[in-house]
Amino acid sequence: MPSVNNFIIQEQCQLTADVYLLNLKTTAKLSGYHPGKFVMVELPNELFQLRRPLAIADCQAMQGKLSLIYRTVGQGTHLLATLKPGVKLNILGALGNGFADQDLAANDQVLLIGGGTGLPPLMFLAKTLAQKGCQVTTMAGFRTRTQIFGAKVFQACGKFLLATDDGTAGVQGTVKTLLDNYWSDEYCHVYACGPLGLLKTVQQQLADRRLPVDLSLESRMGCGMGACAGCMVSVGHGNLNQHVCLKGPVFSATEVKL
Amino acid sequence: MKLNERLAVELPGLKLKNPVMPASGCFAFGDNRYAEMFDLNQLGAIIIKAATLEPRIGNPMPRIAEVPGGVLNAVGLQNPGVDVILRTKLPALKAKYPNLPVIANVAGTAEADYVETAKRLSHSGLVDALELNISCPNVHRGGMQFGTDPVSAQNLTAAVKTVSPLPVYVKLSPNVTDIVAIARAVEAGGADGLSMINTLLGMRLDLKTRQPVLANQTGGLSGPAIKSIAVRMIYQVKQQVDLPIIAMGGISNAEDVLEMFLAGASAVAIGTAIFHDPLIFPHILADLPTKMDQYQIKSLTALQQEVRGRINEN
Repeated sequence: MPSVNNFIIQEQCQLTADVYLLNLKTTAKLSGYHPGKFVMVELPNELFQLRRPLAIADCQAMQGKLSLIYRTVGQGTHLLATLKPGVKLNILGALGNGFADQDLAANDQVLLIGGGTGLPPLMFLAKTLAQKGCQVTTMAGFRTRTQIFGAKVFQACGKFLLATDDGTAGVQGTVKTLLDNYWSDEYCHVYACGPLGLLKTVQQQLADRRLPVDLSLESRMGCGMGACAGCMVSVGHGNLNQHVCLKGPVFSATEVKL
Repeated sequence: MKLNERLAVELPGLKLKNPVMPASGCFAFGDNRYAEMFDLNQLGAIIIKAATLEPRIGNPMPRIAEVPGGVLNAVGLQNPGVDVILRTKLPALKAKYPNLPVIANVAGTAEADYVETAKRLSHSGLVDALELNISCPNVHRGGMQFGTDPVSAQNLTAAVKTVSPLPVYVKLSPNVTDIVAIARAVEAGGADGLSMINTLLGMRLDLKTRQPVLANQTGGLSGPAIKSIAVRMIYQVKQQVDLPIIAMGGISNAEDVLEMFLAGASAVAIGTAIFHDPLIFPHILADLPTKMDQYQIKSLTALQQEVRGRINEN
């Protein structure tokens, strides 16, 4: 069940020129904060009527600790970046379906594919799967060296393969380059999150492989609660027939139309 | 005075324990996750998402954009069509909340669509009142053509009234020069009440892409940014037209509710504020008695009488 809780900012760290990490803490009991789910963050200014949907980058529910990683895109996220430790944030969560991992057991090989601000939910997933004993490989794409974040987390959870468009770090290329060069038939579940182009690449490249491929979608949202129809996506034979916030944000690559 | 007596209101076809309801399009058919967070039986009533004769896919994404103090939306009346609504959505709502009054929002592109949709809803036994949507700004011929011309508005209202035994509340568009003229016209057409205001037509452009932010280019503006316009329009209409008004437009707290009553409302609907505060309904219902004490308001019906008295004096 979703709930609204007040969190206090413990720490705000700038990870790259436009990516920030917020470490938050609440005294409330958190339930359902699983990898792939998201929260709706209220901005502490009445000018902003809509909450911002942000993926969960990490959560220790028992300690009431929550980490969010976001890119400054518009006025709302720029405001978020100015907030200092001690400021209260009202957060609605946890929402969405999250990544399914019931099929996985210890030693199973899983592949995470991400780029840019698609990586935060995969950081939480990598940790969770590593704790489960899975062998986690992450393929991450960035435009350039200075935009890299999260590498340490992924390295601590398993194998980390990196590509940059300009070759300033890792392999020169994109996640497609990494998929072409490092694909293993041992993988038994693939999870991807990132820009539309990345998700389309993953969907096309892995279309013929017989393994579950889950894509986590980004979307503008009004409510996050299945009420406003602001985030519809086409799934199966339907046309804009599913709410990203309700049935997603994670969809099977065989079903979702990108 | 008992709490339920203080907040109870009565409108044609609607005996409500309180005047607060979700606005059409902001709460789906009650089948949303807010229903997990509070008991919808607390609501005075529910206005369901617009029903059209045929299913509608709605507009392409993005459908939502933010502006200071408000939201632009161009969802485009997405709904599964009146038959699916009658077969699945409304029975599910009624099964969970048998005592919750239901107002069905009816939209269309031609008079015949409205009439047929209204007829099917009216004879289903699942609906207590109709809200005739002649004001959706987000669909080409999505009803606003009826809401901006007094003659069309009157004729459509009259046509729906002939097929519907239910009270009909006509939802007015603020995108007109003289809203009183439209209100008078639908009164002449036999409307039982008014619902006002729908969203104001707005637009945002993206400096980076040089394109409109919304795929539909324009959208309907809602939220606190439009509240003063809603108050003004309700006030103006109430001076001239003696119909009960369900007020909406930027209401986000108990004081806003009382301000709408002061303008001439008999009930209120809340939309955008739901997205901001998922518990806005229980919050407003808890605050209302306190605010009424603060402003020496014995009951909402007493406030309505006070407003009516002042109009009659003028």
